[in-house]
Amino acid sequence: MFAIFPLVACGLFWLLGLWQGWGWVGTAILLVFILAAAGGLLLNLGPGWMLLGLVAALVAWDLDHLSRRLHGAETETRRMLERAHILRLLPVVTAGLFLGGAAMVLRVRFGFGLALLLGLLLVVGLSRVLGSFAQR
Amino acid sequence: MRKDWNIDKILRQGFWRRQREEQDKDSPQGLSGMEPTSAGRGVSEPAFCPEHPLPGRAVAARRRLLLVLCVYGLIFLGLAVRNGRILALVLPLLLYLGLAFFHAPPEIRLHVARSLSSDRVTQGTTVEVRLSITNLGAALEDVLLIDCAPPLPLKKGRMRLHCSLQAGETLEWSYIVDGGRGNYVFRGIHVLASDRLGLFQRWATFDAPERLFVMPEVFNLKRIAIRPQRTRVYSGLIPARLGGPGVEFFGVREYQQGDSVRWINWRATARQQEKWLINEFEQERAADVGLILDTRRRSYRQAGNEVLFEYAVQATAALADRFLSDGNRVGLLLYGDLLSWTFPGYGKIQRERILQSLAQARLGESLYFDEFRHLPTRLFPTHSQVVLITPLLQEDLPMLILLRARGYQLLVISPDPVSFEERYLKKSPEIELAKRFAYLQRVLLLHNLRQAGVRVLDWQTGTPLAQAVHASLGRQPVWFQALGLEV
Repeated sequence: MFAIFPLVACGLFWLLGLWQGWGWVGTAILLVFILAAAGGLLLNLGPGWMLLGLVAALVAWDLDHLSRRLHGAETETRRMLERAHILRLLPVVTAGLFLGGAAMVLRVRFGFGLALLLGLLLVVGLSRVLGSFAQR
Repeated sequence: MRKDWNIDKILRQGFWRRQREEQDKDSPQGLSGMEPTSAGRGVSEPAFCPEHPLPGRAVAARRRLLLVLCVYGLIFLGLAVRNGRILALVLPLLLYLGLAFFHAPPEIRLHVARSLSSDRVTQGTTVEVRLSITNLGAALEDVLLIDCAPPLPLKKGRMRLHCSLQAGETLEWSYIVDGGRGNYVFRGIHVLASDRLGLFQRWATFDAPERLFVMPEVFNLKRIAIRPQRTRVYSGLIPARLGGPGVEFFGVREYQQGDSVRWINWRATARQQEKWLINEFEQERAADVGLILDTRRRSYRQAGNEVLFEYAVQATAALADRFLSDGNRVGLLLYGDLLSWTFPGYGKIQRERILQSLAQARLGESLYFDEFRHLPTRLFPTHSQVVLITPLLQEDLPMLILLRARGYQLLVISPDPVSFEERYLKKSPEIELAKRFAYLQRVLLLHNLRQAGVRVLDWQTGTPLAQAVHASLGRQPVWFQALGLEV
């Protein structure tokens, strides 16, 4: 329960960063929230809350960046782009919560070797996908 | 010899630079805005216009890297502690990355066209810059357009635009600028396309060149009475010291076959025996006028800012306009950090050339052209009219006397820096004393010049130029001259 206070303090610090125009605060606090979610799961805290916290931090980080990107844009254009952005973000949030929640509830047993293989496949696959954008 | 070679070299450099600028303007690249001059996905600088950097390109790469590192970190942590729930935390991050990748921007293919409401305006006139951007490729859902415009004050609209462009869509965009005298080059536009989540970006730069000349304001002057020793063969308005057809009485001569009987001077003829005398008039012809604008920074330094120089430029423009309107052949030399020579010519085209040259006139410093000692006098025909526009420095006196001694009819238009600077200074006894010293020094300088036969217009910039010129340099009535009251 006491772990909430540092997180709330982090949130307030983020707001202060927004107000002061510190661009690095959002990134730093996203990392804090991801580490906090992973730590919470290690400590067997409620997995749903951890997932929700991570997704909320991701959304806040994204919207923080959006507000910086659209800074100075005309009001009408800004509204249109914000609407389109939120429409794009909404499926990510929904699907992320749903799939993440399902993954936390479902229990599939496999050995460490297979898990390591799947993990490596994911890392290599992700690297290849991102690399392909640079080469395209 | 060495001096002449240097001047030739400098003039040639100026000439080739102008030629290159003309070629750049007319090049086929300048007409096309379809092919990007540079494009990419990285964070390197665009090919031109580094003064308008594309914002956020490095930020997108950093954000992507952060998410990927978080994903990798969670995977390794989950595997290390054998906790499947930690692996499940990766899913929202993966979805975010995946969706951004799925909507990553395609290759940017645009057609960009720019037009100006006028490419040649006088100071204080606003110009509307219109851009038409057509998307020839696939839809771009989040585009930032930045116009590589010169640093002109924005009056209305924006020089950057955030929008989305559907395939085949044409976007019309305009803004209004104005600005001081100068030659301004609009280059092209930077385009930064990204997905809506801002993780994947592409950029390109498209040419859309245009050039804007902001000319100095040209004030209308009344006739300026100049009297060079040598005139050209074409008719004009300058008294040529030669008898012939004209308006002003010049003398009498013996009647020759073909002369009009209307011009017989009956009184003079009555006094002669067996001789018919006729009136002869002074021919009026065009003359060579060389304008020299002093662009040495130190000449204007005492005034503390460039406003006095603007007065000098406006005076040069007004004089050039007047002399060309009178049918004279006018050339312009800007004498400062380097020499910029506008070859003498007649008419409206020459007026345009001179105004374009004046639009680009800037104050400069050069050790070589620090004094008028290196004034290239051979640019001006001997015995022609030379008009020098300068606030005058004490060191200029010997060279101006030398010019006069070489037979040039020299007219100096001198915006008074003392009275000009006085306006910007607070009143105090010290300032008053300094002003009196400076004023006496200037009066003495002008007196010495007048003693040497140089006509000087001491222009108090608070007085309109037309009024000052009309009072001092206007053509005096004949009776005024006859009474010996010539100014």
